[in-house]
Amino acid sequence: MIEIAYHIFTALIAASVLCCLWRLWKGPSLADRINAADVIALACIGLAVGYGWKNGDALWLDFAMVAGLVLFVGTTALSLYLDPNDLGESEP
Amino acid sequence: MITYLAAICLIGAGLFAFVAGLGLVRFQDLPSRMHAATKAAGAAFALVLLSVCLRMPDWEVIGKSVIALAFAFLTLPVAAHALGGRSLMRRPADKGEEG
Repeated sequence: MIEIAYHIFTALIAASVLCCLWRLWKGPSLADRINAADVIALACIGLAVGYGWKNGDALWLDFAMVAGLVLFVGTTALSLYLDPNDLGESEP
Repeated sequence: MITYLAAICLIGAGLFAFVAGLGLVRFQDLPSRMHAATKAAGAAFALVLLSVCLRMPDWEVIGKSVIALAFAFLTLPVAAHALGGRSLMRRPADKGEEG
């Protein structure tokens, strides 16, 4: 029962990551690629928490907390590279 | 009984994640794709944490899940806002002047 649910969850997460990889490969703009990488990272965090769900291990929730914050910092820092003229430091 | 509910929540989380990936592929322009990615992925993360809380009903697990969910729901819209604002509000006139 738990094994079957975990396998279905893993398959769905894998399909989602494949779709995001296609967008990461194909994406027309840099923002699309950053967005796809964001979704891939969030899916991996969910996969780790689901692995803890299967084993009855609550330690992965600490990983989920910290990795969520690191993901936010990474996405925001990457979005600073999108348009160098809008950084705010080039005001006259 | 509650294990079945947790399993249903986990499969629902997988479905939401798949919907996020599908929207990322199928939508036409960048704001639509960002909308699909942020909202559906946030819902999937919330369902995974709810499923963990249903599987292990302990105060430590519930507290950690609430903290992780609060972090995710505080930071996901801020990151999407930074990304969208950076990518949509371009100023070609400034670029021409400074270039």
